[in-house]
Amino acid sequence: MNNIFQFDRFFKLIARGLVHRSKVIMLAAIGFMGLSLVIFLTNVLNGNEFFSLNFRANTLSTTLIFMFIFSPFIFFFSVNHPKKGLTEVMLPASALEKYLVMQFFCIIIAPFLTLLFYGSIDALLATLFPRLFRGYAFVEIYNFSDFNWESYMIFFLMQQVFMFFNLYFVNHKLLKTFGSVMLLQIAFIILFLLSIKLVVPEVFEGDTGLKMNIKIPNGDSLLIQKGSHSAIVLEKIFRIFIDIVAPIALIFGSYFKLKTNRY
Amino acid sequence: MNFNEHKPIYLQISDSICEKILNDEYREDERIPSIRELGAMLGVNPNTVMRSFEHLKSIDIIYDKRGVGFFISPNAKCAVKKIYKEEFMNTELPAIIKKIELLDININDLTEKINKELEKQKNLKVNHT
Amino acid sequence: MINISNLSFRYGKKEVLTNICMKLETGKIYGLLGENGVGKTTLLKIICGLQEPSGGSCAVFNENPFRRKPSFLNRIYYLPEETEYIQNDFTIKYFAKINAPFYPKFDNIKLDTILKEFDVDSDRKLNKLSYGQTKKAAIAFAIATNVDLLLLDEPSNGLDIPSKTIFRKIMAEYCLDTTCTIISTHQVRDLENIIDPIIILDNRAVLLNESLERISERLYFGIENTLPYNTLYSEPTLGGYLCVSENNGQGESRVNLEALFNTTMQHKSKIKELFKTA
Repeated sequence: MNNIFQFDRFFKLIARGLVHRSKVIMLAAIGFMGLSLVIFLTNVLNGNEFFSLNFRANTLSTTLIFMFIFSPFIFFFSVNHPKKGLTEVMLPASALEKYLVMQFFCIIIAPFLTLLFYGSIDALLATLFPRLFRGYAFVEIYNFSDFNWESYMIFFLMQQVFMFFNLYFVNHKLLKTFGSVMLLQIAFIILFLLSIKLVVPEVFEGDTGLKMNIKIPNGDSLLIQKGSHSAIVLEKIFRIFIDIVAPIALIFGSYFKLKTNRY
Repeated sequence: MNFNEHKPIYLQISDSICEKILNDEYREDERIPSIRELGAMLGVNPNTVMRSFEHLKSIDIIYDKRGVGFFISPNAKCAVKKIYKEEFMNTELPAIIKKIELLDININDLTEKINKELEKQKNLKVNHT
Repeated sequence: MINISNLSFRYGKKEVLTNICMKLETGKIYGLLGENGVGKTTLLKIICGLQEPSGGSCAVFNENPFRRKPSFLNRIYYLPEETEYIQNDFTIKYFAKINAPFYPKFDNIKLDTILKEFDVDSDRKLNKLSYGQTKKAAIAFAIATNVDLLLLDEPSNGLDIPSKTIFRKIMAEYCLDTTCTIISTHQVRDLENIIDPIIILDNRAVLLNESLERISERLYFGIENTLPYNTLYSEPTLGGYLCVSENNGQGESRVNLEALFNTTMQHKSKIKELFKTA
């Protein structure tokens, strides 16, 4: 018997996970299908495309992002609870398998379910009533102009942040997570501004016209003109931090917490 | 079974088996319940039952056949009678005698009463068979 | 099977357990007794890997339980006192269906038999059952796993009187010779006759860890009208006083667990001395 990873145990865990979360999945199904239906009915009542394809695609996109980012809380809220989480922790499977199942649910199953429940109803209605529902939402989202690698990494980062705090906090999780994320954002911005002041202080004097586009988690972007070498390096450092260092640290942190959690 | 007595449980279990031997509920060479079966029936730790069986084995009341179970020994009834007679004489009787003394009971009255009861018991047995 | 040496456990600044040493063997049904809050549940959690000792060692099957290896976890089952972990929107049979595959020796027939003996409605959802019924369903599952180490935390708590009797019978019938069972309890009367050996836990030491046979060799439980000079503990009862004293050739008596517990709590060092193994 391999004590680190075995496929049969891994799949058994996924099956068990789905069964245990059938209520949540059912709620999601009803919620998303209902949402699509409501949009459709509004179009019906207005006799035209009150809600356009763009709106439907936006709705799909929003729900996808929401499900993706909040999936650790949605699926694994009580996994570290000293009483409710006992069966899971004592289940004969390795911490790695349990951890990978958690990631599998959040990264793959969550968006899949959203597409399944919202996207399929939307597609079905669009096929049957092309005059009221033109095009397909799940196709349209690919045409979004701001769908790019950078945005995805931010969502992944947020998801892993939530995964981490879901495992570290036991009571008042959502509140504490919200507070912690706020604090982290403030710390990050301060660090960011300080480093800019140190590296390219000209920005604050406002007359050099350096421009560079950096997206930071709270959605703002600071413009620093390309051409300053140190500014480019700074951008790369922050990029590496957001795309690589932070997620990896969070992944290891979450795994470590799962492996050594006390009940 | 009510484990009310002061005796250790394993001895009380032995007593109950001996009683069943005396009133022919268990006959010689008959299989008795296994350790676990008896434990389950009485709600008693199997180790306690095992002690009881070991005790009965040591005084030749039961024997065991490996893989089959425990059986009442031949002549177990006689052996039980002998053992309990001795216990009666050495333990129970002195306690009764003490009471007789304490309560000033007349020996002749006592003997008469005993004989009457024995007669009654004998008649009951005859009527049953 | 279980070897605990110099174990200590601290919760924040509070010392919960210190200097705990004990060896536990397979095939026995241990009764773990102790005052409220002494750390019985903590000890059980350390044994099954839910908590890590602050000092000393706890080896179960020669392994560190806190590593929670699957090969370790599938040989143990911990039944907590509360039933929250099992509360869900499905029946016990369904719970077994999805969790049993992780326990290689799980026996479905055993589960059905025990559920029936306990008179638990196996078609009712777990979150619709009463506390006692849920407890019984959980006990049935625990026993049906056929694990090598079974830890039951206050299993008789919440059971009605007939169920307590059935519980004893089930323990006697279904605990295997290959299983070490540890039952932590306050309710000694519920478990009288089924637990043997007896462990009495204090937060500074293990006060007692002996079989009933050895206890009745060293201690005598008698009913007297007047207290003998060497009485360690006594309480009034029908027929005089129940007296616990050092056994000086008085033969074997039936061990009264409550009296044993009280005696031990009042004479910790004397008990330690009496049962010291050379």
